[in-house]
Amino acid sequence: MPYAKPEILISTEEVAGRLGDPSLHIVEVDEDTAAYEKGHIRGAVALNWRDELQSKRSRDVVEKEGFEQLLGSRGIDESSEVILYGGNNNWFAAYAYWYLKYYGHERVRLMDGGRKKWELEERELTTDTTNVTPVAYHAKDPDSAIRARRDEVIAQTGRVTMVDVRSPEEYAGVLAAPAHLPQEMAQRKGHIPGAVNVPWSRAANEDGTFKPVEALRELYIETAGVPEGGPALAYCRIGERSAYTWVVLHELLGIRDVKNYDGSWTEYGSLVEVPISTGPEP
Amino acid sequence: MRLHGRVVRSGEPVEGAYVQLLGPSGDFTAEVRTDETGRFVFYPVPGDWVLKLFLPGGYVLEQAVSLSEGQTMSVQLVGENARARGEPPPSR
Repeated sequence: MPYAKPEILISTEEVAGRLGDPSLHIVEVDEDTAAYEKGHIRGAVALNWRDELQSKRSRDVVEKEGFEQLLGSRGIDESSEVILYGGNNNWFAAYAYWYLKYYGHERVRLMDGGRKKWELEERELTTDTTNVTPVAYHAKDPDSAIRARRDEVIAQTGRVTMVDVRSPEEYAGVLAAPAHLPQEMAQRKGHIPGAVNVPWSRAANEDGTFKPVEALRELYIETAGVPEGGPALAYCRIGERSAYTWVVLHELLGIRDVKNYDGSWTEYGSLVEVPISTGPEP
Repeated sequence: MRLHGRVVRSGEPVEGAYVQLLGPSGDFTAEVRTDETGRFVFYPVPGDWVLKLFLPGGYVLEQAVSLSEGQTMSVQLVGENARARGEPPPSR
């Protein structure tokens, strides 16, 4: 059985075969924002999730005009074929994927396996500068159907399937952040009552590629109880890992009504007078 | 609590190796890429963990580590001990 949208994935082999294709816009988005400078796929540009994909005015995605300027500055217009890749099983590349969909970009794909697969296959990385000619980008209005907001999350607690995609330790309230990050956090630890815990990484094979659709169905629909048509929402700590799960649920499994709650635990766990659960059970 | 380490091969630091931290159930918890000095760092809670090293060319090494409260642990993963996929895993 194929993925609902198999065309959103492109293999490392196919990318390698299309290097130099001017119609292809390869974009690296890494958790480690310095990784690109140390070496990247030839012809790739970078988007910095910390400085460029966050609004400077408030905690939010960048506004439409800012998004247009950002993509245009990388030589990308709204009809461009964009290939995203990054480290950590494409964690932040998947966030950028969700972000581009939020602003209505049609032709965006993830390089399956991401930077790790590319590197472990001993494919070329370069430090050469990628020259781009800025173009005009015309974004669509934001697609609120794929983004969950705080008030909605509170109102729907216990009514909508919520998938907490963090590690079991974060879900249980033992850790405040993934184990490769420092743990100093102000908010309470735990999870949204009723949320099921399916760590995002369970959707990935060891080489960073997505698991076959049958395995994903078993993981999310049969075991975790995500309804086939939704509604469901995914959250994590800051909305990036849950964007990865959003890609799995919405794009690979074809669940129509799925939202990414990008405020995630750093927002929810800081709210006053909302219920929190701890421990391994929902 | 810190679990930090270094990946070396033939005595030289390996940049661009991938190190995964796996929980007691084998669950992927985090993954980092080694820097130019071959170093990596995690911040796990006390308990039993497995470090899984991936080197270019399909070489993999697993090493179990046990962290106790308040401990900072340093480990060295040696690339020569990594096995190509399909070979028996190294003993822990």
